[in-house]
Amino acid sequence: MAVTGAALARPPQPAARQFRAPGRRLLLRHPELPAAVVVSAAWLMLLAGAAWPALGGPAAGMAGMPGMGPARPAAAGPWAAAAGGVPGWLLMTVAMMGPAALAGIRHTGLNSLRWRRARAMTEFAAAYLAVWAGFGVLALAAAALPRIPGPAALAAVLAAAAAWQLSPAKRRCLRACHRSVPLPPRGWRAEWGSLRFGLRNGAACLGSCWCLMLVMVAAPAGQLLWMAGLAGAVTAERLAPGPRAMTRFTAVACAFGALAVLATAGLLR
Amino acid sequence: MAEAFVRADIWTLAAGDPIVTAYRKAVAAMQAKPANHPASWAYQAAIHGSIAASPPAYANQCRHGTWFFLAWHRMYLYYFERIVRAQVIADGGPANWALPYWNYDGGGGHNSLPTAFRAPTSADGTHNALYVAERNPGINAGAGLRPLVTSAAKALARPSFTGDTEFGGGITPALGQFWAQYGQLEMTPHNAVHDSIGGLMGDPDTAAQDPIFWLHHANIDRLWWQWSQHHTDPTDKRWTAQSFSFIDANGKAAALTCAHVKNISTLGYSYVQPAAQAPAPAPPPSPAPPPAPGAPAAPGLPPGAQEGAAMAWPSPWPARPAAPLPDTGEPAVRQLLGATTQPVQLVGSAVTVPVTIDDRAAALAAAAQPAQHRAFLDFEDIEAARNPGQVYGVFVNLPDQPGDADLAAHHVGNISLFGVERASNPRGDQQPHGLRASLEITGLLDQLAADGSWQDGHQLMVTLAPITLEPPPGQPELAAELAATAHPDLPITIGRISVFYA
Repeated sequence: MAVTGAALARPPQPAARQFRAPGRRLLLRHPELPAAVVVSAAWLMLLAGAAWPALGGPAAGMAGMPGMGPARPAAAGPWAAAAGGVPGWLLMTVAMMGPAALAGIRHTGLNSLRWRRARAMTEFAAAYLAVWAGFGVLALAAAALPRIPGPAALAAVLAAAAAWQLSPAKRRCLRACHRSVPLPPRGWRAEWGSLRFGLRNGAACLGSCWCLMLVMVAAPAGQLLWMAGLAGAVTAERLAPGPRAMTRFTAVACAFGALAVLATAGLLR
Repeated sequence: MAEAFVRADIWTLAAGDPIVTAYRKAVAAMQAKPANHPASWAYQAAIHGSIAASPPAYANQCRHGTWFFLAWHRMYLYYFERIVRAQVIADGGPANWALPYWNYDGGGGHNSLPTAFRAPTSADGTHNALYVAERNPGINAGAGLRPLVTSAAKALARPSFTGDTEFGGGITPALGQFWAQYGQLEMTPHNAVHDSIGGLMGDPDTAAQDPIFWLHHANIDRLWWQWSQHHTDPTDKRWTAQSFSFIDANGKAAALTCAHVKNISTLGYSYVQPAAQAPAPAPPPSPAPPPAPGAPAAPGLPPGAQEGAAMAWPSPWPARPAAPLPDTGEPAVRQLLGATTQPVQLVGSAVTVPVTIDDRAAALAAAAQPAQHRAFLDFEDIEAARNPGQVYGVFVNLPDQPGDADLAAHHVGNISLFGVERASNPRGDQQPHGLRASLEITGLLDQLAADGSWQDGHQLMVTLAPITLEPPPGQPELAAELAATAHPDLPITIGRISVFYA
């Protein structure tokens, strides 16, 4: 006679304690919740960073990150500037791309063995962020190069983003965001599986949104509104069953933005 | 209550029955109309799916892998039937013409293509509009579909409508034609019969061009009607309030909501149930037999489980809960217990792969939540460039050298790739969802545990075997051709086969 499962199960607990931990039940159903908390925390930090100088505090904390402050240590060269900007860039990526990435994190969690669920989701998120970090270093280095006038750069990036939004390549990348890859259950294959899924998802997401994120590099300081608007557009595109309307709306908004920047800077005549 | 329009079993109609001849004439007349005419054959088929570069308005509307599958197709048939009826009346046919259905599970040779659809010419020597040359080899010669493909018993035994592994499919938005939330009726017999007929029927973009499509779907619709008599259709507003648009017989736009088509008497038609069913050659003993009409499953047992078979599953599976789980309206969360480590490739021959159950995950699953003690077999990340048109039967823990009875007893469902092209590469504005199929194996595991043939709980052996057609009687020379199932050029990759517990 085979041993029944009871022999391996945990020692019996009072029924009330065993099943009434609502937090645990919620986590079981929504393994992506901790990641959602991290994304929310990123937004709070960005809000705090934007509000702190206005309240009279020292502005140093957020200086040097894109969209957050003018301080670019030009003397040290573009790569040093880029390296210094990476933490801020990652914070921004978590806030802006996080909501769209939750679907991949959830898929990883629900399809992993429970005891390695947290690790699998962390691996996915780390790989996803690594893709964006690599792009961030390049983008920040480019931004620290000898100056193109700010408004002209911003208008050019907005125009490029408008064009990219309407391209077939963008469409292909957005479709790729919806693809999952098999997740082996355990062993090194499991670690590599979650990493691979994160890399693929990150690459698809980067291909879909790189141009929109460049806007944040070119945007003037303190533009939390840019961030919120772009994050909303990216998330809506990713989650809508039919993203075309949102993609086109973003393209039109970017095109108008480019014109508005040029007009404000007096570059149109 | 007698409805004006009664859909009949085509196998009970004589070859020259006015319903059949009127259908043939109407199809021919509709095929002669220009493709941009809403009442033309091409236009009606394009509403389901079209490969045209510039398809007509209302084209490419079909819904698959979603809880809208059954309702959308019921509406589609309803308007199609009205358009054909108008044509039948114009041709001087019966004014109460209704679409017949093909009950391929009726036994007594009914599993072969109805005879009116098989020959290129009709009895009077004219072109037979019901004939399609490109069907799978053997189909037009009368080859039979296997009971594993035609039986709706497992689907009809599902207790709920909503959810993958349930009867009608999982919740998805209404937009998007191909999702991965297949209901059991859609997988078998619907998808499996599409692939078994092949040719135009094997691709959703061309399927409705084959006149047998409509009789196949009338049968699917009948099975939904049959299930609904003892079960509850969705009451969720996201389903009931959803409407879909079509073109009516008068050429004008028309729309129906899912709530409106729940009851077919509202739509003015009914079905003649198949007469005393001829004894099927090998009725597949379903691991999940349908509950007695009206009677809920025995309390405390998972859906599909048999009373008296409540045997503990071997270690490391969680112990069966002592008390039945109160119905909270929310299904328990499924937890992964084990999965294959590498993708499985299918090229037409049988493959057996072990799925290892993880001790720690099993122990955690037992402690995590009140369990319903249900087990599911999932096929994830299924990919193929094109549908090879081969149905694969799924069997669990088959003995060596299985006989027909073993095959029937260990069968838990089928995998067929109808629609894989559009699922991976959808049109315009839709997102790809890939393919994933889920089958409940609770009933089979209970049975295996009870008869003592399942000793080692650490492993489930999953076999995927191609299901071939039965050679038509008197044509043994076709047997070899029908048995050849190799598709080395059209491999199917199953990313992962996994076992979940809830």
